[in-house]
Amino acid sequence: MMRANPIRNRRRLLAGAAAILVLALAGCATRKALDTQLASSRAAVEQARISGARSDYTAAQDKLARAAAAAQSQDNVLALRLAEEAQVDAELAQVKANATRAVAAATEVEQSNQALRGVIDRAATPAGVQQ
Amino acid sequence: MKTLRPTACLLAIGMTLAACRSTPTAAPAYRNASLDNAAQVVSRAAGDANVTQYAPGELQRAQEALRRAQAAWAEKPDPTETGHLAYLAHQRAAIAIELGAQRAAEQKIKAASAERAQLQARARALQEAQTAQANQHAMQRQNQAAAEQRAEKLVADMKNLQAQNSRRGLYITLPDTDFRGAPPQLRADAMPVLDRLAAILKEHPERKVAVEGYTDSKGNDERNLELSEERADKVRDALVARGVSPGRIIVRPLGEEFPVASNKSSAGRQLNRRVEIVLSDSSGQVPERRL
Repeated sequence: MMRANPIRNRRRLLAGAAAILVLALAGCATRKALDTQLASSRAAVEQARISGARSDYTAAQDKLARAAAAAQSQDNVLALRLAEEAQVDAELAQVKANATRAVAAATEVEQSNQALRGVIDRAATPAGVQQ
Repeated sequence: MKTLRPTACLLAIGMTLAACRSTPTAAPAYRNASLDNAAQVVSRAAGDANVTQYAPGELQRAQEALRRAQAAWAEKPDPTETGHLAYLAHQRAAIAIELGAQRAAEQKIKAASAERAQLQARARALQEAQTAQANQHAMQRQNQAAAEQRAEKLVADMKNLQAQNSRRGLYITLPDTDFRGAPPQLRADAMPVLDRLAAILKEHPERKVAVEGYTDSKGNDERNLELSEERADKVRDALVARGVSPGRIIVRPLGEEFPVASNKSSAGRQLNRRVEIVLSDSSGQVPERRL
């Protein structure tokens, strides 16, 4: 019945080709998005490592490795998820390390100011002046 | 039964409405734990003053991520995809909180560093002032010690000239035998004493002397006053000849006042005929002689 209708046949062929094209393009698109995400995640993990991050860093590193493995086995959805999570984990690890450092530095400079205030108070008190 | 029917109808309608209200179009029919958890952290970030002040951009990203997760859950309750999006929102909120803390600490460091510069300057100034004060005290002590030493040496030197103490100060007596003739001249015997006194005055430029002439009570008062002045003048001239500035010598003729012995015997009268040289205090003052 179908063979008897060449016009229909051609339509089906066209539709199939279009579908394949769309799928291929979509596949290309997700693959490209995944590669971009993987690169960005890798950079974030590297940044975290440089900034001396400890907590969350291993999680980010682990997820990045799993994302790469998933990408290798063409599981693009899982790979993208893992890569995205690796990126936020790495960013959190880095900002945590920076925050810890900044808080420690703030405490230090404030303590040193406190000590200076003590020096000034003792020097300014007449009783503290020599006898 | 007849009365129950409308009630049953109303109940049925109510139940239908209630069912409608809980359809996923208004809100998710059932909740997702990771979504709730993420919403909680996002709301904690939104309520963090450091986040709103220092990391508003990160907060916005977290809120957007949460909205995406909620929209995905509303559209299609897929726990894996929603869990993933909720995780992203959760981590974004945590990043916002940490960034807020970091920038708040950095702000603190900035303020504290500016304050530290001021404090250091103040501490330095105070320490310098203290050091200066200590130096001044030490110098004063040194000067005082030196002055005391000089004063002690002066007394010793004067004592070597047979100086005596009086209420007016240390004084040296030049006896009648140091003078001869009229108008009077100083004898050579008096010269060594005057040499040494001139040397002492040179060492102590802040000191002056009062040269006081005295006589016995023989003869008239006016003549005695004249005589005492002539003798005192001779002593002043001798000191000036030895380099003492005339401005440092006060001549005081006192005639027959203030005898040191009885005028009834010739020995006593001889003792009364004398010149006394009184050393001033360190400010150059010699009190007038009073009874």
